[in-house]
Amino acid sequence: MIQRIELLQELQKSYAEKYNLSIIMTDDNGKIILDRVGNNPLFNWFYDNKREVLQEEFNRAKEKKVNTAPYLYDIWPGAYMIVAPFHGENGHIYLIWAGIVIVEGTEQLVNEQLQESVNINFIEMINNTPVITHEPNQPLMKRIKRLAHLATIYFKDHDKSDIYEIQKGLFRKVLEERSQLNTILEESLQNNLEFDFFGIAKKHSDDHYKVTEVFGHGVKSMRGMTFSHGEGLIGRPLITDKYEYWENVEKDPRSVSLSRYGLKPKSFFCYPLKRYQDSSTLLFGGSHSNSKMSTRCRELGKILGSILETGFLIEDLQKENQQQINRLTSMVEISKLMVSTHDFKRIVYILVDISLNLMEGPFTCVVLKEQHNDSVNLVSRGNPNGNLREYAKNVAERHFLNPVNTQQFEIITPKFEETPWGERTLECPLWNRGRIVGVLCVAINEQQAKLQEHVNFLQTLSVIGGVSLQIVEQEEEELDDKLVYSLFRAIKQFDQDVYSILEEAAKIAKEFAEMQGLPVPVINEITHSCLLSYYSSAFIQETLPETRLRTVIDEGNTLLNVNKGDSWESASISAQVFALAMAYVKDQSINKLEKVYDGRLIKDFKSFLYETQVLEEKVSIAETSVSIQEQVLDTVTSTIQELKLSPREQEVLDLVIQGYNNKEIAQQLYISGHTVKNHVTKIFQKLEVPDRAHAISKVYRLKHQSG
Amino acid sequence: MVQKELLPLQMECTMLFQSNPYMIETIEGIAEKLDRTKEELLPVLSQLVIQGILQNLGDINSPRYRYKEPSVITQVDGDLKKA
Repeated sequence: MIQRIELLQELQKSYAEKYNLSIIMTDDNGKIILDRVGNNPLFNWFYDNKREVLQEEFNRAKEKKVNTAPYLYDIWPGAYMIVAPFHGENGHIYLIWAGIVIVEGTEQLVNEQLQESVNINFIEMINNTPVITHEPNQPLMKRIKRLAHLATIYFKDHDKSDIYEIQKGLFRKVLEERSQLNTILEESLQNNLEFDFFGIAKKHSDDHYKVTEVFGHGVKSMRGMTFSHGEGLIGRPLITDKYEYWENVEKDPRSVSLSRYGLKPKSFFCYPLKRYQDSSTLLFGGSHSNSKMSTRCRELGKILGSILETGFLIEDLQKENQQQINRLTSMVEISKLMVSTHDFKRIVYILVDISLNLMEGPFTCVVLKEQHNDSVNLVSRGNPNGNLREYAKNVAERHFLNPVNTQQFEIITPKFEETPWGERTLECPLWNRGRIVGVLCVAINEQQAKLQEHVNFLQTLSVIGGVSLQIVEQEEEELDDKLVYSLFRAIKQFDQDVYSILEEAAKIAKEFAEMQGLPVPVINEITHSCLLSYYSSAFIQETLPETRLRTVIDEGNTLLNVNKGDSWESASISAQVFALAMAYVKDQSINKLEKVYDGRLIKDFKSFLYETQVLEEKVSIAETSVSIQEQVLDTVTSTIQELKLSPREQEVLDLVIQGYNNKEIAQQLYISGHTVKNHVTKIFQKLEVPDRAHAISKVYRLKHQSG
Repeated sequence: MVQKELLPLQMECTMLFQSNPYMIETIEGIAEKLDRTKEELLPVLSQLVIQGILQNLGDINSPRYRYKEPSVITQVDGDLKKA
């Protein structure tokens, strides 16, 4: 039904009046769409009195369609209607009927014929009827052609705005949550009469697509049809990846693939819908009756395609979002489990299993570093194609031998590496506060589409894993600490002397180890070894199997009894410090050891003992004569003021003489340790002395000289 | 390859067996524990058996699943070299 009729009626009226015609418009089935307008007497008489005669002609006219050029349609010999088809809305063809016109010189003949059939004299009417000739390019034909052209333009403009309206409506539908694909396609079929069917094909296997849904009539047999890339018309757009449209399909040999499934369209289109993450879908549609679709309809097919693309995108993204939420929920559950477990082994198993779940590669493993030594352990799952021990060694060399700076956060970023046999892996350090516990290594499944997403998941997993492992490690250490001190206190119950000796040894060993700048775990290991050295190594092994205490004690005791320095060179630092402290508390001297080995550590230990003794002497002086010291210090202060030092340097020197160390001076003067060190160095330079002892000695010498 | 949607269920299944390493369970038992259907679980369990995380102690018709611990190597041999 023509919706926008007013302007067309105006055109109809103007043309009818101007050319003395009566004009009606019908659809291509002869149904009158715009009623008669005009004063053509012959036409009007028949229209009013013998409508069925004219209607029969209108109905018959459809057999002559579908030309776009106007033509003369003879009603009786010599009497004609001018018929001009034009494209209306929805791609429909409409016909303008303008008449009646008579061929010049046939007026009498027409009158006679009419009189015979209806027994009325029409001559007066015929004389007022427009006349045409048989010459081509009839002016009247041109006028009616113009009218058809104007009507087409009129509908074209409306079609455009119509398309926008349809587009808007479809978008709205797609955005509505409940709107489904079939609703959109079914409604499109109802609203656009040129389309007879639509269908959707989805990827079925690597090379094949399958028609999953069909809409409209004459297309049901297509459901389930499979086809490959490039097969017939329907498979072609999968290669070109573009919208394609075909006319006169019944003559195209490529339509055999469709006709095999009972589909014989006259026009056909396909639109490959690009889906999120490359899972292609194909929209197709067409007409069983029209060999050629109107431009508008073809545009509508494209719009429908892009709107469905948008709809699928929304659907895919919603699905993706839900998957992300599910994955995050899993991550939360896994994290909760990791931070709540007190079992080191279990955390490692979680890391190995979950990363294998995720990446589905040939193997995953965790390369673990023992806390107090360079030993490397390996927990793995899967079937690598090569030697996993060799790979674990490479991982350890890459990650454990280069000390980690706490500021270098990029170190904890997962890195892609390769196994010696060429498999690509992702290595995620298990790291926390500057210390690396191990590395989670996941072999990559190259077919994984979402690698980056998995990398992010694994990174989070390894960060939480790293922290959890360290917490468990600390818990285990705390347990060991308690046990060590309980065993040590037990010694006091049956041998007070040994208890005191071991306590002193542990104290000296701890202070010396701290001075050496050894890491806290090593210091604890040495101290614990000293405290428990009374027990047999078998007992320690049985009681504290997870620690290295037995090794340190055995190795240290060996060092106390060797005659050559070679053993010292190769012994661990823990065993060396243990041996030095134990030797000193037993003999109050390390002369015996010095004869065997004269390495740097022994020299440092001697200096350490010397400094400790000096400090003790100072303490004794301070305790015995406070008044004398104050008197002396007063005098020294005046001597300091005479030196060519800055006021700050004088203050520092004063405190140096009072026996404060740099840290204590810093606390006294509210300055940094570094600044104190600078001041002390400058003081030494100005006094031309190498160290504190000489500086103090020089100040006292100057005092005596001035006195 | 297990579909992406099944990954959370696969992880859930892994965690169930890991938390109960001595549990031997049928599909029905697992379905009840996780409040899922047998159909949902079947592809996931098959994948876990392929990955070596679970072992099937029964047969194809009446499978019974159990957790399989990863392999552990202590003290990887050889001296490490600085990179």
